[in-house]
Amino acid sequence: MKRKISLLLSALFLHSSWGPELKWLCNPVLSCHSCVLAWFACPVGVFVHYSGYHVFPFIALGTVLLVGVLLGRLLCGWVCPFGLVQDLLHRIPTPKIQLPAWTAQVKYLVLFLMVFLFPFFLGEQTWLSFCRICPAAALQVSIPGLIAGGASSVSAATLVRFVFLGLIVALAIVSNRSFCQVLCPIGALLAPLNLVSFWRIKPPPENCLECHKCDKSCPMTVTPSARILNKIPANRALDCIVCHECQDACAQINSCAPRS
Amino acid sequence: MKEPLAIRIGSFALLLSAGFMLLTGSVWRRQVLPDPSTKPPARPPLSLPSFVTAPLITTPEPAQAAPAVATAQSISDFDLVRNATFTGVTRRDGQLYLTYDPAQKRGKQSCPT
Repeated sequence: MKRKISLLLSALFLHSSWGPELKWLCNPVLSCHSCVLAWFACPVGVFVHYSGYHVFPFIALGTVLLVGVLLGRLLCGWVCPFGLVQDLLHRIPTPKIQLPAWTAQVKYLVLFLMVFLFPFFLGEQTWLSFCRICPAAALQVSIPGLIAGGASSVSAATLVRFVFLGLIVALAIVSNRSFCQVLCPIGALLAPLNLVSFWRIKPPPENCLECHKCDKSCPMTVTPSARILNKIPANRALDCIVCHECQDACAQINSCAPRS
Repeated sequence: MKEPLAIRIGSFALLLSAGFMLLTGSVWRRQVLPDPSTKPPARPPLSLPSFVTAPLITTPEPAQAAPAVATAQSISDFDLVRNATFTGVTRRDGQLYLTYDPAQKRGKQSCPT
């Protein structure tokens, strides 16, 4: 519940017209800086443009490194507005599926090709950049643009973006946080930093009961029990979004908590 | 199997200092752009085809004066990030150019991509 409130508050407060315009700084969550309400720059958008400029992205990379090394993917679980959208979509009652494990590797390819390589060789405005298919840009920019500009503002590029948004929405309904797992380039950047991050989800104080409640509660299905059994913090997994759901579900931790 | 603590702390310290160094470096780094009188050369042929960017349904627009193109001599890395958020800078023939007149007051701008 605390996480949902945090996601909702950050979605509202980081996208509001009364806020400061801090677009010289990157916030490592998927939120399009092209939205006039956004406070911060999107690191993916900045990487795409800097690749096109052939300039090394000191600020974007420095921010991602600092945040990632300190917090891992905590912002994915607690701040990312598109994560909130996916969490809400997944509540729609439909049959649910689990994506194959290999699909988690796709995001690294997306990061390398659509954020760095294609914009570097084809320019920042290439059709093959991630911004062209970004679902956050579709939600925050293309849909408001469509409402404001009417049908005359629709281009083929907008249609492509809508098609991808539709696919991602459909996937999010049947598979929790599927975009984070499969496509998100920010997730791909932050994932390796989960392994060394300062932030850690504490394992239970005593021996694990192996009840696997943590595995069932995990939205990313990264089996935290496998690490807890080895006394390794549960968030030391590439796809963990540090949501702490496993900790909340843990029977051992809850039995040790002071009772009111 | 325990967590390899020494490797983790070493990597943590290395990456943390790298992040600090990158951010510190960005404070001093500046991008030199051509003189304000210089206009960027025409788009290369590899840019987006017109059918991609053109609206499917077009409505006639009132005639507009060509946008003024002016460039500053030098901008900070922070300014370059801010410019990147609305494609305020473009690269042509290996050189960065501003796509707008920095002297004119502007509101919040959107990225055309």
